[in-house]
Amino acid sequence: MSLGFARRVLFPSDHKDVARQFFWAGLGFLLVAGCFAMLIRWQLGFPGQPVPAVGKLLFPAGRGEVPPASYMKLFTMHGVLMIFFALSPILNGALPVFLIPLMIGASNLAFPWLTRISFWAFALASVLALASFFVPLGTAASGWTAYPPLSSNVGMPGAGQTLVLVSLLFVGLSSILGGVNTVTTVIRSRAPGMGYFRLPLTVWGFFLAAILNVLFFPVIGVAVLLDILDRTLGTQFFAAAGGDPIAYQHLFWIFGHPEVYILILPVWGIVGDLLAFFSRKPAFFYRGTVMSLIAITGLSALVYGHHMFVAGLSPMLGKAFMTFSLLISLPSELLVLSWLNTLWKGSIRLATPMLFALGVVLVFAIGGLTGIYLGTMSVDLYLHDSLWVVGHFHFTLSAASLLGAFAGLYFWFPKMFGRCLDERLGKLHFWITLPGVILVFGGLLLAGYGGQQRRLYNPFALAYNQPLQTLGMLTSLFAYALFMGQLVFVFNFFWSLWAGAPAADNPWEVGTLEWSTRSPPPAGNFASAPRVERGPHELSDPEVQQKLGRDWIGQAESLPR
Amino acid sequence: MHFGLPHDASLDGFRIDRLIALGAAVQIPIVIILTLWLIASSVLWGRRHPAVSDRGSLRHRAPLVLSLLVLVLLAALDAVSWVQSNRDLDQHFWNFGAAEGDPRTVRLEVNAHQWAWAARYAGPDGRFNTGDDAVTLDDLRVPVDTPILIELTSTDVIHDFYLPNFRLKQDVIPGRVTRVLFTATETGEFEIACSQHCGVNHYKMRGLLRVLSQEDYRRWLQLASANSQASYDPADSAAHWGWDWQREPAGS
Amino acid sequence: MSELLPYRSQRQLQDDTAMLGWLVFLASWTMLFAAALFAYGVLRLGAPGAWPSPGLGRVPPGVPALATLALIAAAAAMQAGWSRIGRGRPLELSAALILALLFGLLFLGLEVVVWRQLALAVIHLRDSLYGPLVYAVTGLLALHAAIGVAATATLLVRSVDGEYSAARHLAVKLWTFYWHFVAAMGIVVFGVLFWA
Repeated sequence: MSLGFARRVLFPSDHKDVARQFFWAGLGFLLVAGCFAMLIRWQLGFPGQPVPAVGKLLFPAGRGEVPPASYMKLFTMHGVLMIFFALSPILNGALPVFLIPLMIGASNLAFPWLTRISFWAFALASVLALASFFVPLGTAASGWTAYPPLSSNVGMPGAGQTLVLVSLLFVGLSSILGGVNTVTTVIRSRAPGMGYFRLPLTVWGFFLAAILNVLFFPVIGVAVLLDILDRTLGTQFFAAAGGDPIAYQHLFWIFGHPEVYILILPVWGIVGDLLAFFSRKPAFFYRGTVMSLIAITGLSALVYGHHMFVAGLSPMLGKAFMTFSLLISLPSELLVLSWLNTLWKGSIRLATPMLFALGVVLVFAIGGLTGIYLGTMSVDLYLHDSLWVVGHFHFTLSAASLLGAFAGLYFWFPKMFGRCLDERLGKLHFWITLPGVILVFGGLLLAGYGGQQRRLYNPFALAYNQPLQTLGMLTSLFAYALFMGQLVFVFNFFWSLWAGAPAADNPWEVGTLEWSTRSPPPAGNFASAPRVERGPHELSDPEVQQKLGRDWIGQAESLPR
Repeated sequence: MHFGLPHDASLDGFRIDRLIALGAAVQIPIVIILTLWLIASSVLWGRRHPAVSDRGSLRHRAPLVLSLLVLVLLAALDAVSWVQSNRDLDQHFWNFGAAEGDPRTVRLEVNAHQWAWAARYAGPDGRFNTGDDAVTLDDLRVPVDTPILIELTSTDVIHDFYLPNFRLKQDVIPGRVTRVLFTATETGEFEIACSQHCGVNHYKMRGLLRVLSQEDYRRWLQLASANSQASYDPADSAAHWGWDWQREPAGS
Repeated sequence: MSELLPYRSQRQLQDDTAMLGWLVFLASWTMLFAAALFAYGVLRLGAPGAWPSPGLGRVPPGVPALATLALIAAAAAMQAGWSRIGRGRPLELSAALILALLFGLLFLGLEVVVWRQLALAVIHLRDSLYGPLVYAVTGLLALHAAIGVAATATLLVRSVDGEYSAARHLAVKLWTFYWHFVAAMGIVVFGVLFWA
């Protein structure tokens, strides 16, 4: 019995088991990185004050206040853990690994053994990242962007920075292998009749994100590898004298910008589907949405230089990047508009997944619009490296991706775990989280507009920031409320795992293939391979209503004559 | 509680402020409309409203027209921002050529290092890195209503020279020379902040830009150069961090 | 046998899937080399003064050119072996694999010669960028060639054991494409590092 369990845990052949492993890891790191955020907000809201309760424990050297050196580690690892160890495992790990075979009518991913290796690489990366906290001089502290020369062994001595860099190599390997698996699966393993334009938008999101993973993680691999060589072998690739620190920035951001699309594409797909499902009508202009997603994917690497507008690029190069950056905003705006049109004259059910999906529309629109300033080179002279940037990416990455991940989790929880989450607690969670993210990240935007910069241990050592101190304190208080509000989700989640109502096969009454099998699905997913006859959003069709007496029909369900 | 931009003491800062205002004028109404649309949809077309199935087609005219309008509006914002930003950079913020040719231009060299700003003035001989250079620490003094052209480098890690009251910043990169150009329109003291994470005292890397009347500036520079000349030590190579002024520093 | 519809057996479908996955992976790895060469390009274009640093010699292109030819020959041998086994000639496959193996080893040997030339020109890791960059990029290439050599040796053992036939030779096909990838990367690396 225990040997079987060990085999299931260490060598799972069912993709759903690997997906759950990614999921638990992601949730765990979400908690850790979230706690780091609370410590950062403490220092920004109450600079120099001892941290209540845990201050003396965490920072024994002083009176329990966050020291500057620790602050650097906090904001660095908050970013690293959130991006690579929390959001990515959930949005590019757990959800696609779980859902893709189910949604395309396959029994597993194309290469089941590769799924396992992908998780092991991630597990190794996790161990290395966690180990970095316990070495002398502590973990990495040069920002998640790790710009040399600061991230060299001169700027950041100690094993911690190196360990984090090496861990990123394994994260990259995990993502590339996972991406190969996803791309091959979507191309090769679709059930008969499942043409590309009958795929749920969720699958399109996963598919395009996987393409970006495959193509662009190697680029950061080179950047990180050369930085590691500089740190360990004394090479001078990015050194102050003899090397070119800006070369790192090019490599980093050629990966870095597609990375943000890697994190948001799954969310765009999920939201596109959920809005259709809970409006009980097909997604507006499905083909246009898919074309927009493809266009954004194609443009994603061409905009990378907008992170380097003040790094001394030639003005002509800067202008090219500004052009592409402003251009890429257009298909993104098209996406939001398509979502709004899906709602038009629908029959909207405000179940928890739908609430979160609507929340994504709002926060992503806000976040995306705030990016227009940043893509405008002259305005970026003022806003670069400010809290406006932090607010922008927290709206688009943290708020939108997080709300999107919650939307997905609330929606597919019955399928993943065979039980239902409590609706009332879900709604409570939403009504705490949405205003929370808007207030917290809105506070960042306002502070950045006022000129406050990021990564400052005590911003109020600068006189011009002092008027923003009250705003900072309020933002921190809202952040604590937001964090505590997540306990509602944690409670709901674990309670429902144990004692939630058993889930029906298709509690949401929609037609995508994962809902045509049991909750949770058996090994092999389907009793027999489905034959797909229609698209993913066949809702409120009068003919179906007449013949079947309901407003939905499964993708592989035959309509009687 | 304060919500506004920092005080603008520069000749060209308003150009950025007006692009921000333009963006806000377009984006804030859009966000409001979007929020209302989300709320209205949920209320008007709730569970009891039967969905009008358009099979995902473009049949409904009203939302389509509204959407295209929003898209066109945002594209127009993009276009105006693009044109205006290019103009502002080419003709003002990054118009280094004009500044080089302007006889009034005051030149400085700045060496950023962990964690202070060292500045160097050429002095009466007009050449940098000579005995009569006035050198200051965390203390830049410039004349009002005069183009100020600064060349910057770093000796350790990447820093960023940020003047919130002048709406500009520029990365300072070891191994290369970057440039900053501005004109102050009022006298006073303004903060210089570092805007690129550069280590544990990044937040304390604060300098002061003192804008003096032209007469005060001339007087100060004379005094400072004379002091430097008197205390010049040719053996102190670390103090001679200046470089020959580069009219066209190597770019990216 | 019906000629109307191309019949793909279950095995052939699986093989095609494996091939696609392999190609996607090779696309990813091509980006790895592209990024390495991009880094080389940026660092070289930004390097003040002449390239390499004045006083240091460049590696003459002769040996690297031979090394690149060895890679191309290895890839050609693999291609020949793959087409032979496709026609059901296991003996010729084994011969082709031996040739590929020899050319692969020749490449590795010539790479060592290149590195010795660098070392003899007193170019160390800490000097300039030229040396370390050439070491890094050629090292990456050599590592991948070494993986190819190891794989080819394994294929050879299996081929001699009689494991491959006209119907079953997926591994030969996959590794042939791998060698094409390595040879292509070798050509570009040669062009960028030793010719330009």
